[in-house]
Amino acid sequence: MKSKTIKVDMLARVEGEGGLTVKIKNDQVIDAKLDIFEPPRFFEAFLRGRKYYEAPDITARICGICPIAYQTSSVTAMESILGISVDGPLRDLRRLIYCGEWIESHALHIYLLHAPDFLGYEDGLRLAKDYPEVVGRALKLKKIGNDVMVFLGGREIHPINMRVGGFYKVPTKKELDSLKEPLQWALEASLETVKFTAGLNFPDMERDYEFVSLRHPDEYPLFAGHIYSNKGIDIPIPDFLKFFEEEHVSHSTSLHAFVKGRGDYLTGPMARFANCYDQLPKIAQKAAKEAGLGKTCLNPFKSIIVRAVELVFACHEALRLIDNYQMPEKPYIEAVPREGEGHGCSEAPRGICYHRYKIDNNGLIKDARIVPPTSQNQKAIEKDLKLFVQKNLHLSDDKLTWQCEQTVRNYDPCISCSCHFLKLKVIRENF
Amino acid sequence: MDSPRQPFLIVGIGNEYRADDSIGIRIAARIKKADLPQMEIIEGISDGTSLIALWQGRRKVWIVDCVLSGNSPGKIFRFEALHVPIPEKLFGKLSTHAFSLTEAIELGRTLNQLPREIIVYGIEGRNIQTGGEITPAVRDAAELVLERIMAELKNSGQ
Repeated sequence: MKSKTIKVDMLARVEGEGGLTVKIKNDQVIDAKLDIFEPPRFFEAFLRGRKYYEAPDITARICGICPIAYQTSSVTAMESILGISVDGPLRDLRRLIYCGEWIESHALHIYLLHAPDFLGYEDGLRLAKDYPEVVGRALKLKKIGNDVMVFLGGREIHPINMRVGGFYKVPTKKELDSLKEPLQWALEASLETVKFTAGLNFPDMERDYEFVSLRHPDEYPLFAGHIYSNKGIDIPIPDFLKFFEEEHVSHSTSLHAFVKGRGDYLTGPMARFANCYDQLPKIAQKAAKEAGLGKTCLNPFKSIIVRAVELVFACHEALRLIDNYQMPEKPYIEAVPREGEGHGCSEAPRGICYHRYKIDNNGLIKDARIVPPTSQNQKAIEKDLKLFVQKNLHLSDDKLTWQCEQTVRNYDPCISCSCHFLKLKVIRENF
Repeated sequence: MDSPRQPFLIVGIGNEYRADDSIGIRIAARIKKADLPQMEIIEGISDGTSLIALWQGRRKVWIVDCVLSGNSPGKIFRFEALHVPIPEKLFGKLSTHAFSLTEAIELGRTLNQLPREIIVYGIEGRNIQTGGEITPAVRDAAELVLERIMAELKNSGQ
């Protein structure tokens, strides 16, 4: 009879604090908890009373890695209240800056945060000593994503150029064309990234996930379409809270989201891939097939390949958008504030980010609700941990602990959006 | 896509809404106001790896950050990082999806992508709560760091 607790202590510095506890009794995993101690950040509360047009700049500060997701969800929500529709080149520019965020975030996560787990390195730095060319490629890819964000957003952290109705300033065709050459390199590097990730060794684990993503009839989703799940949900964005709910749990200061009447679900690259495979460009589908993926991937560790396939999409899409671009006459659509409620949802690199706002006739925010991707994935992460540990009780404590952390990293979680990791400790009790 | 590089770079690191953690960004913003030639100022980065792209090809780079090491608030640390790693205890770990300053410098060293000179200032903070007040001792230390960087800039031929 053996009992043990695998514990990942929290680390206290800067923005997020989280940890992990897995309890095992009589060789049965009885509990797995992703502990989040990040103090609630009250963004929803301090949005109240602010002007509607401040929402994108305030919410961008929730996350340094995915500010575009927050900005896009907030501007689309506000635009639905104001009754304006951002189309044509302005919409394309919005997709382009979003592609920049995906390239930056995915390149960083694949190579520097997740790949070391698979290759047996403690971190990206140690990986770089043995694979300098691979890490050099990662940094160049990430920089190109950054450059797209800086080019359109004005600066790297908390971009300032996006606004309700469009942008404060838009580039000329010639200015935008300067991004083409680096993005063409990035597309080739993304295809190499798919091959690189496909060559890794993956733990054997699959789960029957409920995949939740946006789905759009004409495009791989970034910020428009229906909220869709492979278990039967297909609803307009404003109905999100009718089908999904958040609850407090004692071990986390972040809320846990679940599908009403069902439970955990997964959002992020694997969900988008499964729900929207048909919308991927042929070059990304071909890369996925050559990497051994079907149209759905159920092994969470293979999310690293799916992320690489999405890198191919993001680079290809960015180039397509640049080719089609014609500078719009005005950088934004003007609108007069009016009372109402609006909803926005966009595909952050790590999953859907839902916003709801109510504003009054003067354009003041009366109420705000933000559901970030990591709070949605927490239940799925805990279920994965439970299953993974149960299947791998034979592993040494060190190895098991390492792979628990890897299991969490499959989700590229952002706990300050909803943590910062992690020092690991295994406490084993024999009795 | 890259514009010609200025030889001098100052990067302020931190979170502008987290009291003492904002001090690096505030110092960078103050130097920016001086509008000095041959100089680029960056107020905040998304994660450490961004630094490697930012500092390549520069003559001299200053990085300013808040540290939490258990010392008295306002204590100033200064490191010349070109040949010696900076302490992980001060500028290390890290998040699930970000690289620390220590790691970024070591990654730059491994890949032979460091600038010609790199100075790191750390100011010991105490309060990093969202929306909190900056600790007076941290504010005073920031003035001293600002003066030192300005003097170092002058000595570098800026």
